[in-house]
Amino acid sequence: MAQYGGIGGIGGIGGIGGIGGIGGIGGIGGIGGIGGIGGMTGIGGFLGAQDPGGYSAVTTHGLQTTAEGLLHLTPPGAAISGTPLSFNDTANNNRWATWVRGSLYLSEFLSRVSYEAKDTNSVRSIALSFDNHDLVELLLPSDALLAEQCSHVRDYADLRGDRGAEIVSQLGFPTEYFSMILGMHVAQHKSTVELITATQVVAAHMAMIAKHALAVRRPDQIDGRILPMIPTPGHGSFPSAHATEAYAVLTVLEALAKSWGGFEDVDNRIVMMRGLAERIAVNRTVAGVHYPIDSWAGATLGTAIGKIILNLAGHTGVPIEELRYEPQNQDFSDFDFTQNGGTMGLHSCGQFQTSAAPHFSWLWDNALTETQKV
Amino acid sequence: MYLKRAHEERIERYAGPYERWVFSEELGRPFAFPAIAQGPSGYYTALMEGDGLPQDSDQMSVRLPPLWKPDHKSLKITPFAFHDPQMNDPRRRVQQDTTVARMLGSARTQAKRQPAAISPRFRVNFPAAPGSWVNDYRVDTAPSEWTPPPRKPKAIIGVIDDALPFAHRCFLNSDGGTRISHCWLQSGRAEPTASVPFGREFVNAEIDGLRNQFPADERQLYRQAKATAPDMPELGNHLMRHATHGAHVLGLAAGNGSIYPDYPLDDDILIIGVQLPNTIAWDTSGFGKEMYMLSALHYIFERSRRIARHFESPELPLVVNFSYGWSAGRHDGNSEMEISIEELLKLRREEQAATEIVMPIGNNFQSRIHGRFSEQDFDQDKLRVHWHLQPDDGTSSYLEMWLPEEIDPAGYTVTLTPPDRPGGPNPTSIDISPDMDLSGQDDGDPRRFEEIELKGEVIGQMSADKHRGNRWRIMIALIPTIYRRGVARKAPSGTWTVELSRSPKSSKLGEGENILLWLQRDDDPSDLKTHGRQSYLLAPENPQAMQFVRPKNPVRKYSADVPNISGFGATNAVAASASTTRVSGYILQSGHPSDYSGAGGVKKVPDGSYVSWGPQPEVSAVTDQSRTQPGIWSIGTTSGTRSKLIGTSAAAPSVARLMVRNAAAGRPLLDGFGAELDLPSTEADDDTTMVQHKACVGIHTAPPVSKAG
Repeated sequence: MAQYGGIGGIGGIGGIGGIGGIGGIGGIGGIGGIGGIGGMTGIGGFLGAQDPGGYSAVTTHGLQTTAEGLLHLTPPGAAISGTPLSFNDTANNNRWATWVRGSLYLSEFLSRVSYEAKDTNSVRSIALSFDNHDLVELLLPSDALLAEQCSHVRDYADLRGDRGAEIVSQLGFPTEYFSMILGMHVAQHKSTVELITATQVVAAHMAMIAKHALAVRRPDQIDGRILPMIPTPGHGSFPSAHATEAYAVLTVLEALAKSWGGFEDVDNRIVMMRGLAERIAVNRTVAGVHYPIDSWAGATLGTAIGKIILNLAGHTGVPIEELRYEPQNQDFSDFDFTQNGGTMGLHSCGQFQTSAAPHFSWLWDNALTETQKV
Repeated sequence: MYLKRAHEERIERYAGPYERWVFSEELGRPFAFPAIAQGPSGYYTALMEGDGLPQDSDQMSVRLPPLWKPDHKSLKITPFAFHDPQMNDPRRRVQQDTTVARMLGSARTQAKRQPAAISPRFRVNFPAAPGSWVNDYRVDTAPSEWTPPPRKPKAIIGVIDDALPFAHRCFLNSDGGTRISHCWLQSGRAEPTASVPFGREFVNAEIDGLRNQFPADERQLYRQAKATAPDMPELGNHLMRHATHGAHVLGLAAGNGSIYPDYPLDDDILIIGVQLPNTIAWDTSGFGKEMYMLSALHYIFERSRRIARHFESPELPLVVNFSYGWSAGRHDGNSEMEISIEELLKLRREEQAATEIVMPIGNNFQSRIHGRFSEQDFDQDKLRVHWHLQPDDGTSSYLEMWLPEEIDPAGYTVTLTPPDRPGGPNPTSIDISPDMDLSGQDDGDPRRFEEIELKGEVIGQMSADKHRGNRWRIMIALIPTIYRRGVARKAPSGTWTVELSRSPKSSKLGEGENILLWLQRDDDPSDLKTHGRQSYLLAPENPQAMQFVRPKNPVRKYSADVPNISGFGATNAVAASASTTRVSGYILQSGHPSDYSGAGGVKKVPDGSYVSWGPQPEVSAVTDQSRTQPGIWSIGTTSGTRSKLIGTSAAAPSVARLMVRNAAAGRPLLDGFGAELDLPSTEADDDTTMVQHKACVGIHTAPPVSKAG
């Protein structure tokens, strides 16, 4: 009905006589593409998704002249009442544009997050909490440690030839890489893709909070010999958002794939997803934009975020570990992260569980139905 | 400017012109492999030529790698390593050549006290990385964790190469254990105690243990096993790469799986591997690698003997693949490596006839790195050839000119003229005669040196030395053509002219005698970031005889006359021993020789016909699927991946695999091989063509081992 509202303004449309200019209108369609741009920034695969933007000026004008031509066919008088939609009900979620659900997931998660940039006894850190439980504390790496880490970054550069295609196609969210391992197709895994995207968006926001507080310089500013092969992003180095997102998605998909019960070889697939998360993180070091400690911090934060999402989704029995990472000069590998973390600066300080939330539960339940029962 | 060394500090007294160049700060050292350029290491490797064994002195402590020899024989050439106990003295940093010279002097004095047929001669090699030096080397002991196989093996295949993925699934036997019996990473990070003098040895039970510990993550396995080390340039991070030369070659020689469906290796063929230091492929000179290469061969022979002795058996059949080499050298069987390989093969064949070393013929047919000249090519007692150096070449370039063994070089001079540019260096000449100031008594080979200087800085070295006392060689070394590593000197790129002149009274070349030129390889096949660029030879404008005449038929490979500068004779200088199995490459789809595959020498005799000379290929094996699909498939570094390699490095292991299968089955080693490849129908049907064709394809043809596509 909204387009009628504008009808009073139709006089203004006289400007359309300049229809010769219509070729330019095509450009408006590009607005829908903003959602795509969001994907490249690493923050908003949802921004603009399913947002139609405005109609073209010609369509708008045509709709309104048509409305004028049709309205005389109906009688005047009051409109008849309709029935209400369910109140505050996730049953409506499918009605909302994707980007609206994106806002809901993000709000649902972040409304329970608090954080503090600490500076005590010359130890600086960012402490993130969830439902007032300590979640992850990341300590600021020293300048000397960053300089030491640069040698790792330089050593990794010789893999650029091998990894170039991965690095460039992983600038945005590498959903395709996870899809490859789980045999996913957009037609069959609409909700799973949305769950991946929601997880990534949440993880990216959490990483940005930490990055802002700690404000760690990128390796190419410390060591001129690193010469990155991609643009250095406009945010701090530590933690790596790619590592945060990859480990968050890994944690969620590992639980989902097991819950699906759809693959005989699910263990093999999980091993490969873990390898993928490591590889996505390390690729950023190969590219020259992240230190290995950024991957450590990102994997730490991402794992915690993934477990929270599982709690929010109502997937029970997943305790959330309270983690503290004090960076030291180590290379990053998933093996060390999972087996040797205790001797490499990663400490568990307790654990907690938290209550489910409606939107993540709705999304999780939908994703569960997408098992392929292979 | 080169500073004159005191008598006892001249490295070339005991070694050769390459050692002088690479170890001297004013010469080529700043541009050498990082380990040498940054030095000092304190842990050196070397060869000793002569009877007896090198021994400790007050200046150096010596250790011998695992050596193979029959009990009652002594070796003509012995690889050894030595340690400088005063390595932490800061003066060592700038005086590497004199330090090494003093140590070798002490070793020689020691050796001369023993009664010996000849005084020892040394060749110094690349230092070992300090991190790979084993503190407690248990000489002549068996590696403790080696586990004997349930049955006596029928044959052994040895592979010497770079980055070997020893945990790859394609090397498992049918019980899931590894078929790799022993694997020595020469630049591996040392364990405190070991049965190798440096590096890290992995034996079968250790590899199986690692595979059990990391069933699903081979990269983590290699990291955990310290088989990768980004901070050690000699070892590096190569097993993290998708593909390595060593993975491709080891897979072709000894892997099982869907890539090699037709010729699987049974469980009773064991594998012994040696991974060479990266230094070997990095360096573009013709020196510095023999100790590692030769001790790799000895190691494979020695560990094979240990396996046989466990089963109280005589030596087992053994085929070693060694896909490596360099291009400049004597090519007459008399360099240190050629002598050693021949000696090892001959001695072992006395005990086990099925003993082979398989090597590639090289990839330089089209590289213009070889020239051959006879008496007819002299014009008024002068012979000229152009040497083109590319700009942006980050490594030293080397040219070797070899005179016939019998000739008296009195009156012969070589003059090197730089590209004609304003401000360039002046021409430099060197007489081919001993410098009496350097040569006294038995102090090394007769020799002479001249530095090529530009504005008082050395940009090159010319040397004339009577190599191993019996053949004159002129070697020219030039520094990179770009400024590198903060050193303010570089060689002009462009066309240099090498002129060999003689007085009218000088000896002439005899019938059938040649002046032979080779350039050293100067590319970067293993992507080690050497930044080298290959220089090449150009025929001068005159005489016309030097010009390449294109075959009349545009698709013909063979012409009616072979020019002075050609691919015939551009063969792997390490593979020139008489008993080595040399392998050339052919294109599977057409059955033609590969365009780049090296070819044996051919030359014109007085009646106008052509004959072959020097080392020739014995077997052809597939190197390319087709012209549009160059290379062949083998495994990648981790299980489940594939990689492609283009070059005769991949031809040799195909042959080695087929040979070891035959050996294990008790068949003749070349059973199942075809006759020589047919002459392509486009070629002329005449004797000259057939001589060239045979120099390209040898006399046997191996069937394809890896699957196409």
